[in-house]
Amino acid sequence: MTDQPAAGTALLNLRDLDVTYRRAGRRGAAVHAVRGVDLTVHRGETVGLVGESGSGKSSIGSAALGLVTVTGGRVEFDGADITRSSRADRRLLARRMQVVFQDPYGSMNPAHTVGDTLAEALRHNLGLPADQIQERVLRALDDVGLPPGAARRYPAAFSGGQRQRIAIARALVMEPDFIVCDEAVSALDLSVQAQVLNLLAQLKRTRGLSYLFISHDLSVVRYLSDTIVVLYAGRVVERGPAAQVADHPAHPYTRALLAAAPVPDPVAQRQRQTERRHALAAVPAAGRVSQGCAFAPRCPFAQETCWTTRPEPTDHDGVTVACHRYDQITAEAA
Amino acid sequence: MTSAAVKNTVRRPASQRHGFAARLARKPAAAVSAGYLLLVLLVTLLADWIAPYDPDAQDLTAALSGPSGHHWLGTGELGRDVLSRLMHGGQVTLLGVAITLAVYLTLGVPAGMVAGYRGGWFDRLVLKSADLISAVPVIIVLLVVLSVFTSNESAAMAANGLLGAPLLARVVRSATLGVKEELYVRAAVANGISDRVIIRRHVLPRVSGVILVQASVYGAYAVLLETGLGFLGLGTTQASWGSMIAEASKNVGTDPWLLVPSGFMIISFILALGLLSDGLRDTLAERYAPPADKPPSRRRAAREALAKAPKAVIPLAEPDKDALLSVRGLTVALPIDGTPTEVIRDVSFDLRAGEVLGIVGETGCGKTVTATSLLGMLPAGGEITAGTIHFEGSDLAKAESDALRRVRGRRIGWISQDPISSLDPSFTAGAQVAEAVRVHTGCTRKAARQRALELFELVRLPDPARVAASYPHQLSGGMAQRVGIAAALSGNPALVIADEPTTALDVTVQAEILDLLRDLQKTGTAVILITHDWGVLADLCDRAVVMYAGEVVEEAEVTALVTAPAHPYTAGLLSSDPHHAVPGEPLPAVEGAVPPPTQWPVGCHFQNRCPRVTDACREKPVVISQLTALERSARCIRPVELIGETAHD
Repeated sequence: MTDQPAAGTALLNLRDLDVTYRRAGRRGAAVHAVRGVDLTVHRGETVGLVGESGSGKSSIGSAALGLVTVTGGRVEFDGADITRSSRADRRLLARRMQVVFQDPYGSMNPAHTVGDTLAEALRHNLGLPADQIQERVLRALDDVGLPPGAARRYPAAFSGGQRQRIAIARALVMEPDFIVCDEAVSALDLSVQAQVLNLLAQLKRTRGLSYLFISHDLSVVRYLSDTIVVLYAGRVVERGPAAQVADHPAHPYTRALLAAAPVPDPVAQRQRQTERRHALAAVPAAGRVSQGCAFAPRCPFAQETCWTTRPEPTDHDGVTVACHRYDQITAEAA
Repeated sequence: MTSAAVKNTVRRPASQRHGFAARLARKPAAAVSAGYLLLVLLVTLLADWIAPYDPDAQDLTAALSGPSGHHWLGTGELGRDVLSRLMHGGQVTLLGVAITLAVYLTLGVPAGMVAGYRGGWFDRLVLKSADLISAVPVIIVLLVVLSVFTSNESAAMAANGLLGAPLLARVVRSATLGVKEELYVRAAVANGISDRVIIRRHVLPRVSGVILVQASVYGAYAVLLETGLGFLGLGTTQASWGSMIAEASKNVGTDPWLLVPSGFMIISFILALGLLSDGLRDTLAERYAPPADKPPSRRRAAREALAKAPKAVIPLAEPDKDALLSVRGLTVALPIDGTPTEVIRDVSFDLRAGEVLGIVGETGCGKTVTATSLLGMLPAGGEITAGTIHFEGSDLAKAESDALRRVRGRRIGWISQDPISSLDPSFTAGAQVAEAVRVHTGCTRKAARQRALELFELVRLPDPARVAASYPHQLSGGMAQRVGIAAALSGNPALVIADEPTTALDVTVQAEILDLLRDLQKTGTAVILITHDWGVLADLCDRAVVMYAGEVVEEAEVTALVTAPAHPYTAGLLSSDPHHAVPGEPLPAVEGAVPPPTQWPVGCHFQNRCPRVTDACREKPVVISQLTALERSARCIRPVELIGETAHD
């Protein structure tokens, strides 16, 4: 681990990642949450991970954090293989890699004060002396825009937005260089969500943080990310620069995602209603299981190949797309 | 390790630490029990000094006599003083209880927590040994122990603790499994905190309530066991509560009184133990959850308190006779910390047949309370304190619960936010919708089943027959919401209220549900859509009311609303929508948060977050007024984009 890291080098590197959960009780019944995912977060970069529920996006974050068992592939952090790192290694990793969860209510022990929650890792992981703990806690609270008095109060005394600031402060006290934001703003109301997004963007600038920003909301991801990775059924279907992926999606699933998200404009929305009906096949063909592309049953462009052969991710001018029909679709659009 | 300075900011404040005893003391039963147990313990420990007689001192002339001045609780068969024996006997009995509990807890608690937290082979070992031990008759084991250690009650009580430990471990294990899934435990793991620290800081305090209850039950069992051993003549020959019961039962014919002191002692001790542990458990649980809302029995008090509270008199406008639903001045109070508090105030809007009205706003602004009050489904203690709800010729605000029940489902349908949990997991989707059809139309079961299938087709469920035969957990979120919509339509309602119907769904599924609701509107059903999502609003609604901190702040046709918002809150909320965001530039956020109903300011509720606020906004409540030129109403004295238009002052 170098002290003076160069910007742009890979910080988190996932290679051919597999995460499989075994269903409780039944032997052999396995859920493949993540299948063969390659993903790189460079130093100072924000990678947005988009997908619907069950797409495996949270499992990828958990795999990086060591919260789930990786069943295949590699997880590298700053050049070191951490795929099967021990608890002792994780203790060291936690100083560089932090997490902000979605639920600002559940992610803090209600019986501990905010100060106690923020101090936990400093005391029990870093083993800092009390005066340094105090200093770091107060500085982290200040960084997220909360008064020092917040340390003495319990989580119940704070609103959802304030709690999410506390959750961010808990990540910041460890002075990490990488934070996994697992749906970190999804539970927040619009006006508060904007506050927290601004805070995350500002922290990235001032501290050179890198984020893996997991969200189901393409517009939020578009705002904060440099690179967007789109997941469907545990696989990457599209990856590229944020503006390119969010404004000119190439994969039919990304197109559907974009078309389906309603915009706050009734006139534009009437136009989009027709578009979104074309973006998704009306009713998924029942009964037939796709051996190829997982999106084929819902894809309006699907052909026989899509059902039988899995499309490999291929590079098209800096955007990686896993789709058999890429050429025809882009030709049609042009 | 912690200096005094840190203690003040980082550690729990002093008042909170002492709060536990104080909160326990507020529970009378627990407080009295604690005092009684303390007294018993004290008297037992001091028996050598305060007991009037030696427990074994015999006075054959006074054998088996009732209470007297010399012997306050009478004497036993050899004329031994009952009071003194009770005091000394407590030492033996309570020592036995202590031994049992010490073994029980030191083995059971760590085993249970480690089994639950770590899982694996140790977990299986704990579960198997618990199964094994439940099959072993305790009394036989104790007989064996006592035959080895003759009349050694301590050995028997230790063996008893050993036998109970795996059962405790099993209970603690289940409680630990629940805590382990808590997000804050995951956060601690991600923070590199060791398991030992996590168990001590997060798991043990959470499961201590369960442990307390188990320990008190087992402690009571130990007292009874000690009694039983004494009764069987297997226990100690010294004075103990158990041996005193044995002595009394032998002489029950000649001196029934003898059973009273020891019997009372045992019963009162067990009772106090149970009450104390209940109180302790409740006090512990309060740290993890705020106390529940006051029960409805306080409704009368709440209503009276509210009637006394001064309130602004708002003259009600006439309801719109052409509207399907016309709400005027609706004000609702809910009990907050036992005090009835207005949570929505002066809400007015109209809805015409076949129209889709959006209610938009953030959490805590009163959207759902508004909707539930239309159907008389307010939470316990909730009360409509002012206003009218005219629907199809009657005022629902004053309707009796019977009349409301006829409207609910039949004339007004309800679609909830969480489609899967709004269905009963133990019935098939088809059965639930058919049941709703039967309730609303009174048709035969067969016709109801047929109608349910028709409804499933109407909400475009693929393969209606298969869905009808499915249980809720077998349905995807989108399918479950379609079933929910089918149920809402079962009574053929004129109005459907949808409370955030797509919030829990993926965006592609949301689009399908929105299309479905639009088709519903085309058939003439009016819809009230509650949402926080401007996109959903723009997709479906004709008109919208914007709510902020319990009040309607703006009402307008949707296109006018989103393109030229008049109220600063509407404008702020719209601009913070990330759809408008430019990467690299800060999002225009509205600073601060929605104030809770207890902290509504005098004057405009939005004043503390408003960029256009003036002193006049803080003086008195702002009235909603028509802005004719802008074709809307707004509750603002300085509306945005107001050109040549005067508001009410």
